[in-house]
Amino acid sequence: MTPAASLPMPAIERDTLATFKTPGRRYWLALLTAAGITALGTWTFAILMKRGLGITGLDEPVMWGGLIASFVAFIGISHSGTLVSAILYFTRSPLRSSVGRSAEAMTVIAIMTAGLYPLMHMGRTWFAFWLLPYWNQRQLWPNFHSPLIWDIFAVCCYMTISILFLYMGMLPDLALLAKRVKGWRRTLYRVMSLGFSNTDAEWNLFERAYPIFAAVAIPLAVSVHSVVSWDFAMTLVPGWHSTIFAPYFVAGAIFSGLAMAIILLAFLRKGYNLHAYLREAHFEILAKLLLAMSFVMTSVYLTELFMAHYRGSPTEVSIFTFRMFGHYALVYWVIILCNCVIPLLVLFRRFRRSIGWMVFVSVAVIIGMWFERFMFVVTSLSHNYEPYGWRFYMLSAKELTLCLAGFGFFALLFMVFAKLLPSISVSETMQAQHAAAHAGDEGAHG
Amino acid sequence: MSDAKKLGRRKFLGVGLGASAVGLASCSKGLPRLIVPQVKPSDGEIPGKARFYRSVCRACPAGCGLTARVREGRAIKLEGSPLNPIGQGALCATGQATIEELYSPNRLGHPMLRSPGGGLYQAKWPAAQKAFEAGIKAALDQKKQVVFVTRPEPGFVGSLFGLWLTALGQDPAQVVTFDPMAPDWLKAAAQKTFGVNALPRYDLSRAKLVLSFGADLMEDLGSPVEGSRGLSNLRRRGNRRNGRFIYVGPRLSLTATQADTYLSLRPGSELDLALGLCRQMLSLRPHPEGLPDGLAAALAPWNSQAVAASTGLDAGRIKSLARSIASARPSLVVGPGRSSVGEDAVQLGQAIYLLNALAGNLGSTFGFDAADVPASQAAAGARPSTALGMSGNGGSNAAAVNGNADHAKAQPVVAMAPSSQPLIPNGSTPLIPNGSTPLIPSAVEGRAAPAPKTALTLAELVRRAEAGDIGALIFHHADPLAYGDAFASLGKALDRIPFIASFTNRLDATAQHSHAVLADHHFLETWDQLALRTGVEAIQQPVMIPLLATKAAADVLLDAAQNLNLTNGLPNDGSLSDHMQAVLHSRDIQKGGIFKTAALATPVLAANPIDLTNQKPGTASDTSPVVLFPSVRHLNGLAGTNPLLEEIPDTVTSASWSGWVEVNPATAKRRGIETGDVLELSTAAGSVELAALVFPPAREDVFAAPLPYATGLLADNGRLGGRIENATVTKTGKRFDLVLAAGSFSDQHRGLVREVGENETLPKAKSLPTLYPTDRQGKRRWSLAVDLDKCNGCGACVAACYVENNIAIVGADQMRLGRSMEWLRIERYVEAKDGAPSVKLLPVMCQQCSDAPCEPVCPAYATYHTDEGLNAQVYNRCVGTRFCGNNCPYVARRFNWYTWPHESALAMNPDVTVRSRGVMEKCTFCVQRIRGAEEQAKMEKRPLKEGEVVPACVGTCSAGALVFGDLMDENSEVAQLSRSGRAYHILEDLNTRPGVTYLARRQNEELE
Repeated sequence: MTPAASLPMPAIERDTLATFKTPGRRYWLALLTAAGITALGTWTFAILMKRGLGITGLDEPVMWGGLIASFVAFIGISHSGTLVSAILYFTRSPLRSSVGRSAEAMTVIAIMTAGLYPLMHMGRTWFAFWLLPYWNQRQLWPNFHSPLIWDIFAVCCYMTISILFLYMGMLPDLALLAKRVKGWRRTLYRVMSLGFSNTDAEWNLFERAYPIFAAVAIPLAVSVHSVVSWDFAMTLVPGWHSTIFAPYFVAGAIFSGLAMAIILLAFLRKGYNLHAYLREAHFEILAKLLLAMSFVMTSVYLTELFMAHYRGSPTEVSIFTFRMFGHYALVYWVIILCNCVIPLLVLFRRFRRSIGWMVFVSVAVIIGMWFERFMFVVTSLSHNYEPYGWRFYMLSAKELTLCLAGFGFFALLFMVFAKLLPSISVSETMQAQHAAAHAGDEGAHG
Repeated sequence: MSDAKKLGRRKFLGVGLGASAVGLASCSKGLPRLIVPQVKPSDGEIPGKARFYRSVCRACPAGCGLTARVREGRAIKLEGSPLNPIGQGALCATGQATIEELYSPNRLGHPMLRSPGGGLYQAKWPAAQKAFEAGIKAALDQKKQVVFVTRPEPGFVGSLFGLWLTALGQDPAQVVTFDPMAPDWLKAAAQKTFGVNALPRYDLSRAKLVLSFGADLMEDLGSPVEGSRGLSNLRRRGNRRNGRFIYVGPRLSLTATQADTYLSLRPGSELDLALGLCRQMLSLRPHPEGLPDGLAAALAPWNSQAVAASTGLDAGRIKSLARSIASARPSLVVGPGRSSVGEDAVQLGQAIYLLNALAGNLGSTFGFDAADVPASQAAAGARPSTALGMSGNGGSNAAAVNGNADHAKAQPVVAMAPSSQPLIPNGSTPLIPNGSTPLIPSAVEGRAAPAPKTALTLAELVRRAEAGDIGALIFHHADPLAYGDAFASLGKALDRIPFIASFTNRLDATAQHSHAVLADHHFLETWDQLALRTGVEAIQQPVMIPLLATKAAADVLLDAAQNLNLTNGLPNDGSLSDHMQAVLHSRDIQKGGIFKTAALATPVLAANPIDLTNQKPGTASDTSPVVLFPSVRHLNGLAGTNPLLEEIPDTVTSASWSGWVEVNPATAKRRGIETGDVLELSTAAGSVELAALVFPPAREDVFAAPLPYATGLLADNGRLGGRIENATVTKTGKRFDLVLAAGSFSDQHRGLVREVGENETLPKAKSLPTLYPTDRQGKRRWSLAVDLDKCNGCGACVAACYVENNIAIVGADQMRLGRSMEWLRIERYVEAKDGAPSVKLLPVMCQQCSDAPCEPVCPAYATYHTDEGLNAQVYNRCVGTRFCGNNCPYVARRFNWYTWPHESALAMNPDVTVRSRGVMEKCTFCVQRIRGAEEQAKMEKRPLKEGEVVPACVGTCSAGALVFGDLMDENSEVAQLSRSGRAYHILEDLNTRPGVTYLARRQNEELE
C-alpha cells in the first residue's frame, strides 16, 4: 500500500513539486476570502483593544465564552498533526509520507491561531508579558500555581517542538527545492535549507536526530492538551472539576485534529491533483481512526453523566441536567449529533471511501467539537453554585466575528504554506518508493 | 537683559498656573476639571486626612443624623451619627446615595430666568436676585398674596418663611408644607378618633406583637431607618425573642418579608379584618375607659365568618390572630400603610386606632408626639421611650418643646444600636466656611426657632390662585408637578399666578414652570436647625464650601427683604451662615444637635371614634385592583432622580432601572402574560405602560406596581399610591426586557440560607480533610459576621459600598447583560411554604476565604492572601484573565468590561483606586479603612482596638446585622458570633474556609 508504488521517480518529483506552480484563479479567490475574513477579524480585534471586553457578550458569572472555546478548539485541531505524524513515523507507516507534512503544518498554524485567543480575551492585553517569567527589578514572577502559567509553558513547548519537527523534516525538501526553483524563492530555500547538501553523512545525522524530535513530540502532544484541560479541571466550577478532563481533552483534540486533517488533505488532493498520493485508502484509514475517536468521545460523554450522578453533588447533577434540557439544550444535542451520530456513517464502506462524505463528516466534527468546547465553558459558568447569579450568555456579533476569523486566519496561513513550502514530503515519498522497489527486489525487508 | 527680567522656569510656571487658575475660576459652567493641590493648605487642613462633620440628612423628612467624611474640602461619604436618636448611627440606602446628588451633573449650578420668549436661560445671581425682588414687589404692589410651597421644614429656615412673610406685611400662615408621601389618611383618622391632627408614633421596642396593616415601616411612612431597626429589634433583643411581627396586606413587600406571619388578604377587606378584630377584642380584653356604649352593637356584624368570607382568610386564623393580640402585652397595630389603603383609608385608620385602644396599647406602644396632643389630653403618665416617629412635617415646634419640657425627662440619650460604633477617632471639628469667623457661643441650649404654621392647604392655595389672589408663589424644594396628575389642579392654577420662583437643586418639573429658578445649596452646603420631634433638635451644618454657583434660599430671602426695605422682625445679623453661627453653640454643632428623650403622649378616644352607620362586612368580589406600593429606593415617590438608587436592585423582585407589574403565575397563565410583556394599566385618571413580572408571591386578584414608576395613574387631588379600583390591565403586545438581577427564584435546595429553631443550634459542620495547612496564622484574621436573623434587605449596605468604594454605576443596558459592579448584593430566594410565600435574604460579598479558590488560579499574583486574612486584589497587577472570577463559587468578583464613566471625579473616594477597564475588582472589607485605622493606631503608639475598623456596610446597617472584627481576638464580638450555634458558612462543602460567617435565621414564630 505504498502511496506511489507504481510511479517513476521523476513523476513523483514532478507531481509533488507541481504545488509550486503559479496558482490558479480558484486559489486566489480562496486566498482573498481567507484574507478578507482575517482582515475583518483584525479590525474587530482593534475595536476590542480600543473599547474593551464589553463588546463581547460575556457577563458575570460567564466570564469565559466563545473566545476560550475557540482557543481550546484550535489547540485541539493542532493536536493531531505533530502527534499523528510522529506516531506514523515510529510505526513506519506508509501513510506518513503523504499526510505527515500537512498535518505538522496544520499543528503549527493551529497553535499560532489558538495563541491569539487568550490575547484577545485578556482584560489588558498590553500586559500579557507579565505572564512570562522574565527577570525584573521588582522581582515579580508569575504565579506558578496557576494552570494558566502551566498552559503557557505547555503550549509554548508544544509549539517549539512542532515548529522544529516540521522544519527539520522539511530540510531535505528545501535543499531539493533550492535546486529546482528560480528567483527569490531560490534564495529563501537555500537559506532555509541550512546548507543541507544531501550527503550520506548528513542523512546519517538526520536519521539519528529526527526520531528524537518525534519522540519528544508525542508526550508533549499528550501533555499540552492535558494541561489545557487543567485550566478547567483545576477549578471548583461544577462540570469542570473532574479528573476525566485530561484524557477527555486529549481524545477530543485528536478527534477534531483528525477531522481537520481530513478536510485539509481533501483540499490538497483536489487542488494539487494528488490523487495518486492521497488515495481513498488513506482517507479510509483516517476515517476509521476518526470513528474510533468518536466512540471514545461518546463514552466520555456517558462517563461524565454517570460520574455526575455517582458523585451525588446536587450542583453537578444540576449542571448536567441544565446542559441537556436547559437553555443551551440545543447546543448539547447538536454536539451529540455531530460527534456521536454523524461519525457513525464511517461504519459504511460507501461513505468512508467517499471523500465528499468524509469531508462532510469532518466538518460536522469540527462544528460539533467547537460547540462542545462552547458548551462546557459556558454552561458550567452560567449555572454555577449561587442560583441568584445564574445568567445566560450569548456570543455578541463581534465575538462571533473573532471566532470565525480564527478559521479564516488558519485557512490563510495554510494556503500560504501550501504554496510556499512543500506540503507533501518529496524525499519521504521517494524513500518510500525506493523501499518498495527494494522490497520487490529482495523480498521481505525491515 | 538682567536675570530679573528673564522669564525663568519658575516664573513661567507661576504665570502659567496663575493664568490657568484664572481661566478655571472664570468657568462658571460645570465642575472644575483640574484639581490642583494646595501649596499652602488652608487652616487645619491636612492633605490626605479626612475630617468629619455632623449634620442631618434631608433626603427624606425623617431627619437621621449624619457624619460626613470630608477629604480636601469635599464630602465623599455620609455615615450615620450615633448621637442622633432617629438614625442612631445608621443611614438608609437613600441617605447613603444622596451624596451622588451633590455631585450630579444634573444639579443646577446657576440661577435661571424666564426670557420674554418663554424659555429659561442661565442667569447671573445679581440679575436673578433682582428678578426675584421684582416679582415679589409686583405682588406686594398689587396687594396680592405671596405664598410658599415648601418641603417639610420644621426648623429655622421654615420659620424664616413666616417671619419673612410677616416682614412683607403678609400672613405668615401662607406656607404650604408639601410632603406628598406623608400618610395623610393617618392624620385624618387621628383627628376623627382622637381629635389629634397629627401622625401617630409607635414604640416598637416595647411591643410583644406588631400587626401591620400593609404598613411598610422600612419603605414608607416617614422613617425607614427607625422602621428597619425597630423590626430587627422586635425579632431579637439580646438573647431573647422580643416580639412577633404579623403583616396583613395585599402584597408581599420588603417589610412583609420580615414578618413571622404574612397574611395575604383580599385587597379592600382590611377594614373588615380590623373591625372583626375589634369585635373579638371586646370579648377578649377588659374595655378601656370612655368606650362608647353602642360600639359592641355596631361591631356585631363583623363576626369571624363574615370577616373570613370578606378577607379570604381562614376563620380559625382570624380568631387565633385576635387571641395573639389580646394576650401580647402590649401589642401594637400599625397602619394602614400605602398598599392597604383605598377609598376607605380614613375609616380603616380609625378602625386600627380603635383596635389599638381596645388592645390597651394607647400610651404604651401607640401614642403621639407630646407636642401634637392638646394640653387638655396630655396624660401625666407618659414614659420616655425610643419611639418610632412618623414623618415630621410640622409635627412639633419650638413652642411645644418648651411648653412640654416637663415631659422631656432628663434621661440619657437613647442607647445606641450595637452596630453604631463611633466613627470619629478624634472628635469632629466644626466647619467654618470662610475659614476665619469664630463660632459665637451664644445660643440658649434647646432653643429652636419657631416653625411655620401650616394653616394653608394645597387645596386652599389652588382656590386662591384661581381666584387670582396670589401674586407670587415660591416653591422651596417642592416638585408637585413631577407626580403625574396628582397635583394637576395646582399645575393649572399656576397659569393664574404672575410670578413663580423655585428654590431647587435640579431643574425639575416645577422649576420648568417657574419664572425664576433659584439654585439652592445642597443640604450638605448650608445651615439649618430642625425641630424634628419633641426632644430631638438636629443641627444641619455645611460640611463643605458650596460646589457650584448656588445661593442659600434663606440668603435670597434675607437679601430681598433688605433690598425691599422690609426687614422688620427678621434676623439682622447678616447671612444665614452668620446668623446660625451666632446662635448655635459649637458643642451642639459637634454633636449634630440637641437630643433628649421624650415620652409618647397618650391620646384619649373621641366620643365616637368610628362611625359604622349603614355599613356591613364586604363580600369577595373579583375586581382585580391595581395596588401602587412604595419603594425603599424612592422615598419621595419619584423614580429616576438618583442613578445609584436606580441601579441597586429592589430586594424583593431584584428588578432595577424601571418599573414592573407583579402578576401571579396563575393569572399570567390565564391571560397569557409572560415576564417582559408590556401591560397597560389604565384607570379613570390615566394609564401607564409597565413590563409584567410573573412573581409567585403575588396575589391572583392583584396587579401591583411600584408607585414611583406608575405616577401616571394618580388622579388629581388623589392619594399617592394605594389601591385603585376599577383599573383595567391589558396586554399591549409590546415587549420590554426587564432588568432582573436574580437568575433563579429558588435556591435550588442548596441550603444557602439556613434556619434554626428558637434555642436550637445548627448541626456541627464536619471538619473536611484538606491538603493545605489549616494552621496558617497571620497577624490578624479580619472577619465579618452576617446575622440573617436581623438582616431585612433594606439595601443601605449596598448603597454605602457603592459610595465608599467608587463602584461604577453601569446603567440598565449593562445590567441587563449581567455586568452589575456591586461588590455586595442581597440575594433573595422565594419559597412557597405551605402555600405561603417565604422570602429568604442573603447578603453576599467576597467571603475572604482562607483557602480562596481565586488565589492559586491568578497567573499574575494580582490576588493574594495577606497576613491579615484578606484576599487582596492588586488592581495594578491584574491583567484580566478572569480566571479568578470563574473560580469564585460565590460570584463575588466583578470585572471592568469597559472603563466605566463616573458622573463626577469629585465624588470619588481618594482612598480607593478608580479601576479602569480590564481589571477585576471585589470587596476588600474596605481595606482602606483598615489601613486608616491601623495607621491612626500606629501614630498614637497603641494597638488597634476592637471596633475601630468599620467597613462601610457595617457602619450603616440599621438592623445591626453586620459585625466586623478580628477572628483571632478570642474576645471580639465577631469571634464569639462565629463560635455560636447558629454560625455557618455558605457552600461549606467546598472547604474554602470563608472569613464571612453567616448566622442562621431563627425560624419565624408562626401564628398557630
